[in-house]
Amino acid sequence: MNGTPLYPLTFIIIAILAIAIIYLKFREKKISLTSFILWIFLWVMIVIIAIDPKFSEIFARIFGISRGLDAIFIMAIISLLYMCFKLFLKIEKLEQNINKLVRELAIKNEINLENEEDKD
Amino acid sequence: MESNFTISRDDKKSIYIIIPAYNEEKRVGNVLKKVASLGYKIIAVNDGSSDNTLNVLKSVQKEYPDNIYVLSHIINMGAGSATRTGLDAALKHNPSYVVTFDADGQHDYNDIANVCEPLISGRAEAVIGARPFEDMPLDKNFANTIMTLLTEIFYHVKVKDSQTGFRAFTASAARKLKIESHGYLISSEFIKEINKNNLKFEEVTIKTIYTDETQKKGTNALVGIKIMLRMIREVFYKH
Repeated sequence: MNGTPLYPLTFIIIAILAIAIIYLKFREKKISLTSFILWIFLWVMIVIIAIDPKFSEIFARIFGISRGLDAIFIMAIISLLYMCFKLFLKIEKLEQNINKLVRELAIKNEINLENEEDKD
Repeated sequence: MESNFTISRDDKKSIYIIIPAYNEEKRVGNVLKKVASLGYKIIAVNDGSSDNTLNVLKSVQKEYPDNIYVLSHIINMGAGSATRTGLDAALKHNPSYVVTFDADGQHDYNDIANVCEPLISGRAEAVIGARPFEDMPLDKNFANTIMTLLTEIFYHVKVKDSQTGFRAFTASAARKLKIESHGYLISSEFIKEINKNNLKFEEVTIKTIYTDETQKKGTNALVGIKIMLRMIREVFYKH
């Protein structure tokens, strides 16, 4: 095993916890199968790279980058940006849906005087 | 510009004034009373206000039960959204003309007749009430000038005032408009849609009453930047 023994160990513990949480969320049907697989894959990769940093060089070679660590950083940044974009689109969509709901509700429940007097 | 134009009582009954209100408890009551006493129909939309606006709307509605319709957003959705809700509601009542009017008392009630005049006499299908920029405080003047310029660049329409809240449409014109934005971008969007649908269009100079209170909201520099970003994004999304 390469590297100091403490640092791969921390990553493994964090990864196990993360995978456990993801699994529980999946069982409660709070996340979809696709995101379940993606997250598991991500954490397994982190564990593999933590145990054997040389593994990252395989990626580096595929993408034509000389250092393994650089490849990891580049991939991390790209995936973060992608996630940001996804979230942005999702929030936009949600905003539109909420907007539609609020407007429909307002139009359906026009306030009229008779109803108000009943309440008083 | 003094108004010599008067609208007949029957015409007034078919003019629906849309007044979106967000946290305007102090001013919206007076605005509503004035407009209702002139004989127009009103669609008041409370945009999820956290103050007493909704109750003010309801109490004015009791005074003028035949003139005022009250709608309410459960949460705050922005001036654009509230205006759209008002438009949808107004069109259900089969109006001849619809007018949008700010709730904060910055517009002059007598201008309603002036803005409707080109519609009634058949010269135009859409009218926007342009505020003279010289009357504006400096920061608003600047922001509105920029916004009007941006409207010209992005939507290819040259108008005197692109950010006005005072607009009037014939019902058939209003039905053609596809407005999608939630916030202040709506002002530019109206202009874009007027242009896209080839509506006969006129600008009428209106009076603006600037008090400390009416200055707090509306297009200041920050809102301007936000609108600009949205316009840029829209251009990239759609083309």
